[in-house]
Amino acid sequence: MENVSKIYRLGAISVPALFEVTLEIASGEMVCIMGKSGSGKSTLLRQLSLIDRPSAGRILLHGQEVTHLAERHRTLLRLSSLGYVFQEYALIPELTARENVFLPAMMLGEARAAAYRRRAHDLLEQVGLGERARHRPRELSGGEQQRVAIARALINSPTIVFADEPTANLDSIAGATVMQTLTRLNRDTGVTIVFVSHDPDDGAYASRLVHLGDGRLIDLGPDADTPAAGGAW
Amino acid sequence: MRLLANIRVAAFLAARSLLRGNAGVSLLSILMMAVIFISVLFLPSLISGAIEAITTQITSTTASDLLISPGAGAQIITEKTAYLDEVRAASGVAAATSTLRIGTEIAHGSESNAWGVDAIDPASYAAVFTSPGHLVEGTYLDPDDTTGILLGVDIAGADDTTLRAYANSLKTVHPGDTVEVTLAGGARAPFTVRGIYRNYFPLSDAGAFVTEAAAARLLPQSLNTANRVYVKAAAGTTPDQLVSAVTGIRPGLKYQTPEQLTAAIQDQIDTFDLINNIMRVISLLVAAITVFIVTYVDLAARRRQIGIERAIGIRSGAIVGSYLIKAVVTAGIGILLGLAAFVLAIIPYVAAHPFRFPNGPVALVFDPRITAQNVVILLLVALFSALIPTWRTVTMKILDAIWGT
Repeated sequence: MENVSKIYRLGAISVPALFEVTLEIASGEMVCIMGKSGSGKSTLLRQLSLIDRPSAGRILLHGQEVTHLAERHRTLLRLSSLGYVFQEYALIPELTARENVFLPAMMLGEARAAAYRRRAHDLLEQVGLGERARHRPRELSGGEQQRVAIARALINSPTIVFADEPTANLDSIAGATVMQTLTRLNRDTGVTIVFVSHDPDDGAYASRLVHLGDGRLIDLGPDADTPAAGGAW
Repeated sequence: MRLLANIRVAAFLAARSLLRGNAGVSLLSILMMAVIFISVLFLPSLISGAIEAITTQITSTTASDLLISPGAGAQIITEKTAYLDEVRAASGVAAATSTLRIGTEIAHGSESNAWGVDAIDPASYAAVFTSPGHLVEGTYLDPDDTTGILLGVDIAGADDTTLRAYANSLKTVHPGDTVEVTLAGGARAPFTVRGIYRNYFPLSDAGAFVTEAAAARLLPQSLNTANRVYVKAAAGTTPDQLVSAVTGIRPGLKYQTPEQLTAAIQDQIDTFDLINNIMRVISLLVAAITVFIVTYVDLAARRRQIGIERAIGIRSGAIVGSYLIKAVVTAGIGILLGLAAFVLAIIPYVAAHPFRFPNGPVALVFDPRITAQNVVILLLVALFSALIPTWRTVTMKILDAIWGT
């Protein structure tokens, strides 16, 4: 992203959230965006993941500018190339764990139901929930729901997965399991992972740290001089 | 491809939501639609029933399937026996009878009024009209009876003070009483009341009948004449076919079918239709508001979920489709339930306990064409009522939907 700014407008009031942030993330990286509450880290993630549109600046995905794409093209990109894990357990309550996972594949128009159902089951196995495939969200713990959400984010083999404080609502053990799951997926599949956290301990899982304060990049993480795959910001 | 995926996901989400969502809300919505559909069907069926009741009463108690009267300027049909025989022999004729007006006033004690008294052949009259089978007191006329009279309940009164016509009736007349009939020439003749009938139809309940034998005794010059000839059609014969079959028998007569006679009550039918249309619009508005509220409340509770679905790439078309499918399925089940209740319970119940209208007992008439029309309209109403709030939600910014702003 280049010189991205974001200003939220609430009636006559303007609330600046990001100031001319430039950030490049290389393929295969596991980037942690850290900062205090209100620092703009979730806003930054939403610009990167094409859920929101910046007020100024450019966002490029694989070298292509996507800032001003029509909403239907952004939807298709979110569906096919990007995965997103929300802070809260954002599963559809009427669907089982496996149905939640394969829903985006169904939306992508994959014809063979058996194929995406099997892939959903494999992903649930990978996140340690193979036995819970037929359970509905209310029958799963917070940590389990979050791992189902991770499996859902991976169903269409995205190149980047974004996670917005994925451990915020979990106890330390469940949180560690979720972070280990993300790390393993990054290592085993090479998928780029960008996650937001305010917990300094989560930084240990990242290959690179990005610090935000008052909507600006303010500091370099400990590994900033040696980005995992040659990216720079 | 994209449309197909949208439809598949929409159907999948709708099915899961209906099967695993809030059963109470779904059930209440279905019941509401069932009640609305019944209310949409009820009034047209009742109005059809009322119109059919009037037509049936006119046909079976007053005018038969074809009323033949003298042509312009004439008062009587001569050689009526020969004419009736020819009419009875015509194709499509099940029975025929005639009447001759012989009296114009009936009195009993201090009560009297202007009522027509007709001479009939009791046997052929009973073959065309149902009044002889609707006796509430006494017996029907015997063909050889020259002193008996059959009265409609609105003339006799029969001590039934609940009759609307009671005040103008003879009030206390029963079988065995003697009434005095003023004949066409002004003379008076006593008759003994043999029976009283009641059709629950004002046009026929003010009738009085004596036999042709009595007419021949009192007015011999009237022998073999008639003022009216009534024809009952054989099953499957249309009014037009009936008219065609008998018009060639004797020229110069006038022919009227029940449809032409009911034209006199067309204003009443038009008013019924107007009321029906107003009630239908109100019922459809209630349906629209119900579906809108149910969908709106459902969407309000799920707005964040819809925002998340859009964030992970579920297309708006699929989300809108899922709500439309839910609305149509809910309305469809409600319609089926309402239809089943209407056809299997309400119609049979009303048939057993008909409404009492001024023109007689009225049952509900089921009209498949109007029902199909209402099904389509109600489904469309459900569809559009669900579309408005759903479209509004999916066109919000994703973050507004998730944050609830």
